[in-house]
Amino acid sequence: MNRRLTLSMCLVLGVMALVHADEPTIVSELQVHPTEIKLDHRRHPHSIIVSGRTADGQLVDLTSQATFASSNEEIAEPSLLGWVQATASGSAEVTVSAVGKTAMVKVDVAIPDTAKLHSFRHDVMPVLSKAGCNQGSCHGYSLGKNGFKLSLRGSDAGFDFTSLTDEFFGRRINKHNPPASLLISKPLGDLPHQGGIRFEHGGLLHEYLLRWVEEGATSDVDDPVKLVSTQIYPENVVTGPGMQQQMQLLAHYSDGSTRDVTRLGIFNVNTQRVAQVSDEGLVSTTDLGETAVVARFERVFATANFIVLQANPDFEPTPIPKSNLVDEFVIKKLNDLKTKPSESADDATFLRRVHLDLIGIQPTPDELLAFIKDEDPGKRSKTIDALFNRPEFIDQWSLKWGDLLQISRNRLSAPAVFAFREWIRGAIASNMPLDEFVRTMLTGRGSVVDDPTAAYFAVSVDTDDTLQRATQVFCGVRMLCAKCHPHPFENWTQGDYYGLHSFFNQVATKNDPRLTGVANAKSILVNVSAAHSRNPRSGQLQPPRYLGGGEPAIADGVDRRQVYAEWLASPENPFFGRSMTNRIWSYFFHRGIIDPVDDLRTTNPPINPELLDGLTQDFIDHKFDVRHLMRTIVTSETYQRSSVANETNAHDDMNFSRAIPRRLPAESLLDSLVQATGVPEAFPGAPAGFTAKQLPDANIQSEFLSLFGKPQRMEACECERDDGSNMLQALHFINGKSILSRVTNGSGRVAQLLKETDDDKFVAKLYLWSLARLPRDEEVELGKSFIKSYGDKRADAAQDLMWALLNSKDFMLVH
Amino acid sequence: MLRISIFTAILISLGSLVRADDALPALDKETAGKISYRADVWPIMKRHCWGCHSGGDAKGGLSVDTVADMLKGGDGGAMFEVGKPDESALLEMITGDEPEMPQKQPPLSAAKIQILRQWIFAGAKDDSTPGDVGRAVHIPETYRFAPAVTSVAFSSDGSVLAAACRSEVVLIDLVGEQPPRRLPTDSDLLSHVEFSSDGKLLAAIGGSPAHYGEVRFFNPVDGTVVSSRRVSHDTLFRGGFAPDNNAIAVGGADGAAHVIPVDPKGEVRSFDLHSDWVMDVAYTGDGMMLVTGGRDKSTKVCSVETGELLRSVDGSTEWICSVAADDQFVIGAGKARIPISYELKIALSGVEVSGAGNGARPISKRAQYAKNFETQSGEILDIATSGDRKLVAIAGAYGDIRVYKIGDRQRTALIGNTPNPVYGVALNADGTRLALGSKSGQVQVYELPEGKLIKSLVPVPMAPPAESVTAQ
Repeated sequence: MNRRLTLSMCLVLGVMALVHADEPTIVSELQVHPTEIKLDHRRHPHSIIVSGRTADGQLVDLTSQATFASSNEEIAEPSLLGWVQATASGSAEVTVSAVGKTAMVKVDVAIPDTAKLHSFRHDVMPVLSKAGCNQGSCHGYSLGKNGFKLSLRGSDAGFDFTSLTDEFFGRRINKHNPPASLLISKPLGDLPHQGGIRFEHGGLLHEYLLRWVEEGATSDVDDPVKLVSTQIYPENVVTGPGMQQQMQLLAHYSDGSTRDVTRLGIFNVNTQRVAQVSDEGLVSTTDLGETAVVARFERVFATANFIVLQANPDFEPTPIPKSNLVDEFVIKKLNDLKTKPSESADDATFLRRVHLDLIGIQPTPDELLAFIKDEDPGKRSKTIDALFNRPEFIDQWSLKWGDLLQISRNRLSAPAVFAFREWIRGAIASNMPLDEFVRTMLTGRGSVVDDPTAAYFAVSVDTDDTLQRATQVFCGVRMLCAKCHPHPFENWTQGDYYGLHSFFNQVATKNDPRLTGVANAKSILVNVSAAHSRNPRSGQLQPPRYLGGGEPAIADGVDRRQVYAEWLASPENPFFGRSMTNRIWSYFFHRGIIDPVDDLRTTNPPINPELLDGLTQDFIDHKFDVRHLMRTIVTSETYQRSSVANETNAHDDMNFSRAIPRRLPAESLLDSLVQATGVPEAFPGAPAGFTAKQLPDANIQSEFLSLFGKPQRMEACECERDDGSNMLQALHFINGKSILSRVTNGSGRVAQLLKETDDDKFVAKLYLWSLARLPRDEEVELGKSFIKSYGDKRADAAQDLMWALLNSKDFMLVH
Repeated sequence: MLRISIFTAILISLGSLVRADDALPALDKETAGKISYRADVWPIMKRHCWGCHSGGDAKGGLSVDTVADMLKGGDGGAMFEVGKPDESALLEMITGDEPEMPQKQPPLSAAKIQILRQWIFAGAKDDSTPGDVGRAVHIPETYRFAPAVTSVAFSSDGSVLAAACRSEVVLIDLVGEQPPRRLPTDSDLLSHVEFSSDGKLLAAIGGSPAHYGEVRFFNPVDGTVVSSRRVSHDTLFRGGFAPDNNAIAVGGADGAAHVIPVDPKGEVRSFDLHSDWVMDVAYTGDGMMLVTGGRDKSTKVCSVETGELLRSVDGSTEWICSVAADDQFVIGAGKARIPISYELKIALSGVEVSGAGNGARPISKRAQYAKNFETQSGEILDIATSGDRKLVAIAGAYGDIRVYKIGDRQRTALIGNTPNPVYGVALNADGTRLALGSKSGQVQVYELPEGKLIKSLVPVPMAPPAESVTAQ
């Protein structure tokens, strides 16, 4: 609900007209980027980005108003827009002038004697990407479009060259009359093209294609020079609304050369409300907030972070706390954002929040009153420590792992569900380090009677499923796309996919001999002689390859899962610690530091990279101690902040400057409802007395739980749990029996509390049980007059009052 | 009461938004009169409509190629009535909250809509310059790059080899020492050459990609043009002469097989059988049936007399690029690497049906009539039969050519290390010689079954090697 509200606010703001700020005053030296340029090609000019800073520290792009002069135009010639063009070998200096200041750029030109033809690999393929020809909705589609297919986003140069030059008698290229080539006349719109006009006459894209065809449409598909990385500049920008910033995109190649590919880059912004980016990489900021600018050249991404805020020279930075990692990095970022964090939440709010988050149930009136009364300044930490030892802590986190590991009788036998669940509960009770926890599961084998963790593999439908589950849950990376084609938003290939596949393809299942006659009972076998998996693109066997890593030498006859498990849960794996830290963080806030939590990729950068890096390192240093990580988070001021905004942080919903309310998960909601009303929920098929959190899987029918989004555990995605709000939920709370029958129950809480004859105390008790807080004075008065208005029907009044309290947001939300 | 008021509050928040109708600006004769089709209207049509609404396979049967086409309208009727823009189907399509057109593209700006309205209002006048909007075919005296040889053919007596080199046919003397003869065409890109069995005609088939198809018949003796005509909106692909040599059947990008008579006054008959390009057409030995194969991955047989589809004999997993036929067999081959021979009689015999009503479907007896040849090592681009229809040669993008007996599918020859890819292959009348044309621009002739190379040349004149490229 909160998200939707924010969204509609954004829409309203987005329509507001741009107001151009007064010309900002530059107090810094002129900054030029780069300060040295090496050119080795007449056709590859290099841009210079010129900027300065205001007294407020904001970055101002001066490129468009700067002038450029070369010390020797015979060697290097700058254009009006700051693009330096090589003319002949030698050295020159370019003087950059703006706002009455100057700066120098050194230019070295070394042009090889033999001139280069236009390159298919490095000129034509980038054009096909830039013009969108090879995108998924056009010729990059798996079946091509209109009989013409290119590899998706240019992943296969050889394929694309053959498609363009050989297919159908070479009809797409006309070397004898180059402008008539379909490759050129279709995207120009000179011939009918369903994909529309992709580039203009005379532009760079047109030029590159035309010259390549004129020079004979030659192939350099096997060129050993490869793109290694891309670099975007500026990488971090703090600026105001209504400002413009030209980006620069550089490509670094395996032969050590660098090329300015800004004009061939593909630019996007992640949050369009905050800024837009043009085709040429000119960013225009529109509204306060934060966004990533994502640039792509060929298949390599680079991201820059934009923070857009009002100038506020009077802002006094919050002192950076050093006692807690979380606070240190969050406050650092908030100071950059010129944002003050909210105050600390009051005791009752804190206690309810930390109870719900750590053990999944509201505090009882006794717990709350005792906490408020406690005058120990360290009482919050003391309470947190105590919560780790509560039995509900095990319920809460085994529920979470049950979701992530997809423990359910849809896929497992009933004994396997309970055995695996019990093993996980033991691991949580003993605070088993997370690396050991995962390693143990990934090497489970045999019958669940002997090894409960064998159930991890019994859940999987096949090797693909195992691979995708393991990668998504333990590394936060979604690999499914790469099964059939190169991943569109990341550089994963089928080689990477089948490299992982080869780690798991020795697993086989058979009917469990220890559980004969039990439905779905599977025993896990490891066939150590199984060959590596075949990559369908290359047709070759793909040796095991770590995610984003090397291919370890593994002897024959070895359980390859062991090698993988060792690597996966080791500090050498760049994904495991980072994704698990981020995931655990997300259970205590409204979002992950990277969000969604199970979609780590360059194009989805963390909102606070230092925070995630710091916490991850701390998690690794503490040997993957989950309770330590949780303790670091919940003892932080950041976690304990109020949800009440101040005037600087009202717009912030990403940087943790205040608590953002979240709806209670289904199980916590139901367990808290049961505790509040004193009327238990009977779950058909579950042992009597089981709470919602203790249910073994979602196969226990519960209208309430499914309505509030309890996952069926069919997917390895956090997104399967629906934490949204909808009309049916509201109607269920208003009219459904979950609340109505509970408040009217003759042996429930209301009936019990009716013995209290003092209305003041009576109202207070209703509040304590329902909302885990004391009523404010005006709420006491309102409650009393409400009860009075019912005359002698005191019971009706009490029922209606508790019904209203349980229907309030104060109950529905972790706030 | 409390419970009810919360409920009402929720309902109220669902209240819908009301949006005012956008009024169209006024039309006025004076400004409208100044609007030019060529300068103002055509650029709009070209950018927003032409991609889909053009040529033979225009969406909804509506082409906006010319004003005349627009006035003709499409399957849905007229686009507009001259003088009444606001009652037109065109305006209905391009205006409104979510205009239907242009599909999946942002709507036209108000200014562009106004131009279209004014132009129709003022009479929808056509001020474009008449004539061919296409690009002239240019045949250089000498070539900088050897043009790919897309098709080769032996004359029936085996004395001449014809090679299709981009826009011209080159006749190569295989007996004497005559220099190659160049026969220019109006096709930008030829895809097929073939001699009639009586040796009196040479057909050159091609066209201009995404523009028009063309067939030109030459007298191969003196090189004069017998007749020439344009068919369809894209190049024509491959085909074959009718046994009586009065017509040639060729495949088109419009999904049709076209039977084009040599007589320029004769009527072209088009059989619309495929859902994608028809890549090749062949007559059966008796001239009664046509075999077609295409990019829709199917191989089909139809009646020449009625154009009626007799049988879709097979579906491949990939494009079919070439077909051949005699009295008994049909052969289809393409990207899927395996040439398949179909026994015509069984393939066309009664089709059994299983089930009844909507669930009824023919039982394929495919296994009885479809026989695989040896799998080739890459994509097949062309197959050719000998004049006596005993042998078939198979070539493509993999560097060797193999020859098989049609009857038992046994291999009789293998020529390795050919240029790659080979676009066109041909056998002479008795199967003792094989010729190929390749992307590299080379033509080669081999003796069979030994596979001895007896001739290798680039048939067009090449320019002296240029100075190494100096401009970067």
